[in-house]
Amino acid sequence: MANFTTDSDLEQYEPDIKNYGIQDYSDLHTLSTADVKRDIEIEWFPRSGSNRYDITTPNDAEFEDSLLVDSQWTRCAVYHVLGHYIYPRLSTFDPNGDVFREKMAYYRQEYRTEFDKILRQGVKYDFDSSGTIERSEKRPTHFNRLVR
Amino acid sequence: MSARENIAIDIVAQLKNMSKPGAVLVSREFFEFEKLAITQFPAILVVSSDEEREDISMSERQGTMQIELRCFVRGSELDTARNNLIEKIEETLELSRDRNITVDNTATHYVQSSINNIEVVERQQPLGQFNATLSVTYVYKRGNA
Repeated sequence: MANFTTDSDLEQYEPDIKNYGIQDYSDLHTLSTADVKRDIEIEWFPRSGSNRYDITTPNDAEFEDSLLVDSQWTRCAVYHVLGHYIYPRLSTFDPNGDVFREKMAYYRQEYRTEFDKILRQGVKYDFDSSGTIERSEKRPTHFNRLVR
Repeated sequence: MSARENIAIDIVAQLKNMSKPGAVLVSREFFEFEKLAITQFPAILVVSSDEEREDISMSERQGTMQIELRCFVRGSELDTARNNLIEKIEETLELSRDRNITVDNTATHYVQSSINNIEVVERQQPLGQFNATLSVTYVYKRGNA
């Protein structure tokens, strides 16, 4: 399973991220990618509808993360790994607060925002495993529709 | 480059190369240790401090400078962490008492250094601090400090 992010992706957003005593965040990328994929499976996939034109037909297909387009999730996953794994490790959690905890909160918020934007934009998912993403395979999820 | 600067550069380089328990952060730039990441400990701030200079011959002068190593550790067994780091720093700096300065008859003639003081600074857990003073004596030709 390929990760959505690498250390070089992190450095685009936080150029100093290697200056805090940790030189390799590979294991955290793996954990973060799994979390993001789980969020996709929970929040998007049940509503994506493999039968995409009949809302009454439930989606019985199994979610396959390999059918996602990884590059679509890079920024989102960067926010996730920074907010959920890296900055919590760096923070001293001093009651008076510290810059790392501030950044942790910031990136967690950005993650939610970015995640929602991708859902609204349309998750690229190769439903028919054709190797290409058709227009119908990247439609916004329930855009402007009330979901109960 | 000045002898003071060369000496300080060497000390930082040696401390950065320390093996376990090595220092994660070694810097000559002032930092607020309370704002460091939890992963940046042990941290060492290297400060070139006071120096006494005197004539020792018609053409030579001698300088004795103090370099303060402000060392910060973090954790639960602070006394052990401090002691281990003190030992490691002393061992590392003893490897080259001449601070790897190229002795040059036209400028620097002699360099000798040793740690001559350790001061434990009481901090509230989980932080610990001690200051180690490295005394560096060097002789240089007049006008070539």
